[in-house]
Amino acid sequence: MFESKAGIILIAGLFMFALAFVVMGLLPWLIYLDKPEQTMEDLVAGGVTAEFVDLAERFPAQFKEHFPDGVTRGSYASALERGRDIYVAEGCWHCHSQQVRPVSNEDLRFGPVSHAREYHNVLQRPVLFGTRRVGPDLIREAARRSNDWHVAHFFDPVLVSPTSVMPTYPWLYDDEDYPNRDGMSLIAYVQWLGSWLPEYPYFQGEGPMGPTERSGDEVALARESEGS
Amino acid sequence: MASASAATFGSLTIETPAHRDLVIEKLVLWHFLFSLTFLIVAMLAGWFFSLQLLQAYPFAGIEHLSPGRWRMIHTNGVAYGFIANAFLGALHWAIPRLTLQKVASKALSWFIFFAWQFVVLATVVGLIMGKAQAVEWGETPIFIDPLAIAGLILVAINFMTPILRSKGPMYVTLWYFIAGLVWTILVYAMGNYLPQFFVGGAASGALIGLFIHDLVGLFVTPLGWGLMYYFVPIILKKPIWSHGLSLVGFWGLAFFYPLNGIHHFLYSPIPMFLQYGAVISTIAVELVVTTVIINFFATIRHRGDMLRTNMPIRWFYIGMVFYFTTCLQCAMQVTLTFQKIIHFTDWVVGHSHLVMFGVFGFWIMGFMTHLFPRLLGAKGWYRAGWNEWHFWLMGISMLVMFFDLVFAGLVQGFMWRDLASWESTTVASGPFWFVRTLSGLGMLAGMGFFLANIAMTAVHRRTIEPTGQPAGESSGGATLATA
Amino acid sequence: MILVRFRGLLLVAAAVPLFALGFSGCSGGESDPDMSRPSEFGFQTSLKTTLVEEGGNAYKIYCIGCHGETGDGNGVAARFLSPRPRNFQNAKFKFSSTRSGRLPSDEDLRRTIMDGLKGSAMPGWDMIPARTVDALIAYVKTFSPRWEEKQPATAIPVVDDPYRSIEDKSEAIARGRAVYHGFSTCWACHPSYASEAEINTYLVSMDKPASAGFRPNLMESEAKPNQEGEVIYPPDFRRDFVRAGGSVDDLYRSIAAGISGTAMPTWVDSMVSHQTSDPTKVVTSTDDLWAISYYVQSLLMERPSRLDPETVTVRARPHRIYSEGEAFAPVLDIEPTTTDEDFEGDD
Repeated sequence: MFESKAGIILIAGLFMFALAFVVMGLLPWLIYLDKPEQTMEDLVAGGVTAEFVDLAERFPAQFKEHFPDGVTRGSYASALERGRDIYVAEGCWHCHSQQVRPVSNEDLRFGPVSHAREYHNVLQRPVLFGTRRVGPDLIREAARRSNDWHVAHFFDPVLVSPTSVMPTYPWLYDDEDYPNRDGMSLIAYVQWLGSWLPEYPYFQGEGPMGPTERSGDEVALARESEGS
Repeated sequence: MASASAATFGSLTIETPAHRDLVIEKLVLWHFLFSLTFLIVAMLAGWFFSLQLLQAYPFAGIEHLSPGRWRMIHTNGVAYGFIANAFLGALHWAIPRLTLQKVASKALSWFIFFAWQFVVLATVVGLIMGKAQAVEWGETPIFIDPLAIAGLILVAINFMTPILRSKGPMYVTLWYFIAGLVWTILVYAMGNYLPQFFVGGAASGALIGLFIHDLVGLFVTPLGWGLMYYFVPIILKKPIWSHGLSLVGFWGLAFFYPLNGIHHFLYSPIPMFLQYGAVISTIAVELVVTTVIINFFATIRHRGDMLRTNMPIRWFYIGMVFYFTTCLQCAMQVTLTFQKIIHFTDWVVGHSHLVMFGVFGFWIMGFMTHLFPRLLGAKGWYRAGWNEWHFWLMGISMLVMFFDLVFAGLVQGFMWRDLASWESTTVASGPFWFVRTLSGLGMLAGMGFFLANIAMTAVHRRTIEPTGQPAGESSGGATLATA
Repeated sequence: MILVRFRGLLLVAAAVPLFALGFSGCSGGESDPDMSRPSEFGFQTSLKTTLVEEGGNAYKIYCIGCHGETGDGNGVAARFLSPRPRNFQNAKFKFSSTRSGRLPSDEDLRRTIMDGLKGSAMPGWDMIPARTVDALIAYVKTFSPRWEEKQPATAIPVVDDPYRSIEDKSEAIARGRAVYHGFSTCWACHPSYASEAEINTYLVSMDKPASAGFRPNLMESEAKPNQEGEVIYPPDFRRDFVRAGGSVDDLYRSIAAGISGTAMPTWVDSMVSHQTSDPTKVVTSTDDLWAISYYVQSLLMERPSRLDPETVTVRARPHRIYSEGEAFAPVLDIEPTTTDEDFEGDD
C-alpha cells in the first residue's frame, strides 16, 4: 500500500495534507465558529471616531469632495474599507504587524495584548497579523498620534522622523499636498486600529484615570520579570 | 530517428527510448532562461528595497516603483518565477528519464510554459498596480489565482502521466514528485481562497501560516529533495547510500511538514495548544531533515575530490551544509524562548534567505550548472573560472547576509524587549542593513558571472572543448541503472 | 541623511555587550538597567561629550523634523502641522506648572517630552531614557537667551486636595460642576455642560448676577486663536483631548497655572471670592481648583469611543497645508490674547 503510486497520492498527497489541514486549519476555525464575524455595518454601528470627524474639520473642502455625504456612517465604512485595501496594496503589512504579544514587554511599548475577538471582522480577512516589524506594531495606533502628524508622515516619513526607513507615499496626496481620498481613507483606517478597546484612546494608561507618568519603576519591574 | 534499445535487469526487460525522444531540451532551456530572468528581477527588487532601508531608494515617490509593492515582487518572483520555472525545467528533464516515458503531451508542455510565464508576469503587473492579496507569499492578485491553479493542475496531469505509466518499483525521486505535485495544487488553493473568502479572524491566521510554510514544505522541499536524489547519484556515478532512509525521509516529511504552519504566529491569538503542536511538529521535521542530510553526506563519502573538480556537486554540497545550518537554526528558533526575542526581527529574514536561496537556490544553481552546456549544445562551459567566481561570490555573500541578518535580529529583538525607543532600534539596524545591501551586490555580481558564462557558452558552443566535466548524461538506461 | 545612519555604528558597539547580557538574562541573571537600555548612552559620542552635545545628537533623531534645526518650530514637517510645532527660539511654552507667560520648569519639559501633547502632532516619547530627556531639555534651552536671562520661575502652589482621601468623588464633581458654570464661567470658551437655567442658578449661588444672554453655540467650544494666530478650540472635554494630561493632578496644574499664550488664565490667583454682602463668608477658595479638576476628569471619562454622525458638530477648524518654503501666515486675524509683555514677567 505505502509503496504503490495510488498509496503515495492518497496517503501522502491527500490524507496527510487533509489531516494537517483539519488539525491546524479547520480546528481553529471551528473553535471560533460560534463567534459571529463583525460585518462592516457592525463596525460602524456605534458611529465614527473623533479622528474621522477631525479630518472633516481640518480639510472641509477636500473632505466634501472625497466624501460627498459628509461625516456619515457610510462615508466612514467606505473610508475604512478603502484604507484597508491601500494598507494591503502598498504592502504596509510586510513591515508593520497588527498584534501585541504577551512577551518581550510589548504591552508596555504598544498597549494591551491582542485577543482573538479583535480579529473577527471583515477588515481582518485575511488577518493582518504580520510577520516582520521594520516599523512598530499598529494595532494600538488609534488616536496615538494626531491626524496632522499622519498627514506629514505618509507624505514623507523622514519629515517627522529623520531615521525612518519608511517609503514616501506622495500619490496619496493631491497637487497641493492635501491628502486625497486614498490618503484620508488610510489615515481613517490607521486611526481605527485598536479603537474598539475599552482602553482606547489611552492605551498606555495615560488617560484621566491612569498614572500621569510612566515611571522608571514600571519599566524596571518589567525588565526584572522578563529577565527570569 | 529514435533509436530505441532494450535493457535487461534480471527478469525485467525495459524498452529504453533515446534521450532526444524523451526530453524536450529546448523547453528545459527556456524554462531555465525565464527562471534566471525572474531571479534577476526579483533580486533587483530585493536589492533596491534594501536601499530603502538605507534611506537611499533611488525611485522614491514613484507610485509604480514603490518599494512596498516591489517587495512582494521580490518574494513572489523568487517563488513562482525563479523556483517554479527552474523546477518545471528540471522536472521536464528528470521525469521522462526516470520513467522512460514521455510527458503527457509536448504541446501541453509548451502551453504550460507560456501560461506560467503569463501568470508570473500578470502577478508582477498586478502587484505593481496595487492589487495584492494579504496572504504572505500568496500576494498574487485574486483574479490570477484561478489561472495559477488551472496551470498547476495541468502541470500535475502532464507529469503524472509518465509516472503512472512507468513500470517497476519507483525511485524515491518520483515519490517526492508525485506527492509534491498533488500538494502544490492543494496548498495554493487553500492559501489563496480560504482566508480571503471563507475563514476570517485568527483562524485565517492559522491558514496563512499553513500556506506560508506549506509552500516551502510541500512545494519547494519535495521537488527540491527529489531533484537532489536524482542529480547527485548521477553526477557521482554511484547509488544513494540508503534507499530505506530516503523513504523514512519521505514519510516523515509527508506527516510532519504540513503540521508546521502556525509556528509563524507564536504568541498570537491563535489557540495555544495549536501553537505547541506546531512547535513540536517543527522540531520533528528537523529529525526528518537529518535523514536526507545523512543520506547525502554518506553518498558523497569517499568522493570528496568531486568537491574540487565538479562544480554542480560543490553547489549541492554547500547547499546541503546550509540546509543543515538552517534546519538546526529552525529547531531552535521555533521554540517559545527564542520566539520571544527574534520574532518580527531580521533574524527570520536571514533564515528565509538562507533556506530559499542558500539551499534551494544553490541546488538549482547546481543542476543548472550541470545541464546548461548540454542544453546549449556545447561540450562544456565557456570559462570554468567564471563558474568559480559565480560560486564564491554567491556563497560568501549568502554567508555574510545570513550572519548579518541573524545578528541584526538579535540586536533588534533585545532592544525591543529592553524598551529602547523605536528610532534608536532603526539607527542600530542601519549598519546591518548596509552590510546586507553589500551582500546583495555580491550575489548580483555572482549572477552576472553566471549569465555572462551562459551567454558566451551559447555563442561559442561549437568551439568549446570539453573540460573534463561531463555535461549531462547521455542515455536513459544509465539513469535507471544508477537508480 | 545616510550619514546619520552611521552614527548607529556606535550603537552597535554598544549592543555587543547587550548580546551577552541578553543571553545571561535568559538564564535568570540580573540585568543592569544601564546596560539594557542601549539608547541611554547611544547619544554620547565620546567621553568628553557634554550633556548639551548629547542632547543635540538626540535632537537630530527625535525632534529636528518638526521643530527644525534652529529650533524655530519650522522644521521640514511643520508645513503639514496644525497647531504649529513649538518655537524654541522665543521660548514661549504653553504648558507649565508656572504662571502663564513664565518659563516652564525642567519637570514640565520632561513631562511634555515623555507624555507628548495628546491631540497635537507631539507624540509621547515614553521610550526615551531619562538621561537622554535630560540632555534634550538642556539642548532645547540653548535656543533662547531667555533661559539664561530669567530666574527659574517658581511653580504655582499645589494646595492640599480636600477630596483625595474620599472614595466617593461625587461631591467633588458636583462642586466642580457648580464652580465650572457658576464661578469661573468656563463656558465662555469651553462648552457648557448645563442648561442656561442651570447656569443662572449656579451663578446666583456663587453670588454673581444671572447672565442676561448666552452665546448661541453654548454647547460647543468657542473658536479661539492661539498666539500664532491659528484657530484652535478649547477642548470639549467629552470629545477632545486635553494636551497636558487628563489625570486630576495634570488638570489641577493646567487649570491653576493656566495655558500660556491662550485665553486660559492662571486660575490659582483668582479663585478666592467672598460674599459681597458679608466679606467674611467665603464663596470659593483655591480648594475649588480640585473640584473643577475632578469635574473635568469625570467629563473626560465620559468621552465616547465613537461619535454619532447624526448629532456631532463638524466645527470650522481650517488647517492649511503650506507648500514647500512658503512662510507661515496666521489664519485668524484676531488680537492675540496674550502679549509679549506677559512673557516678560518674572518671579
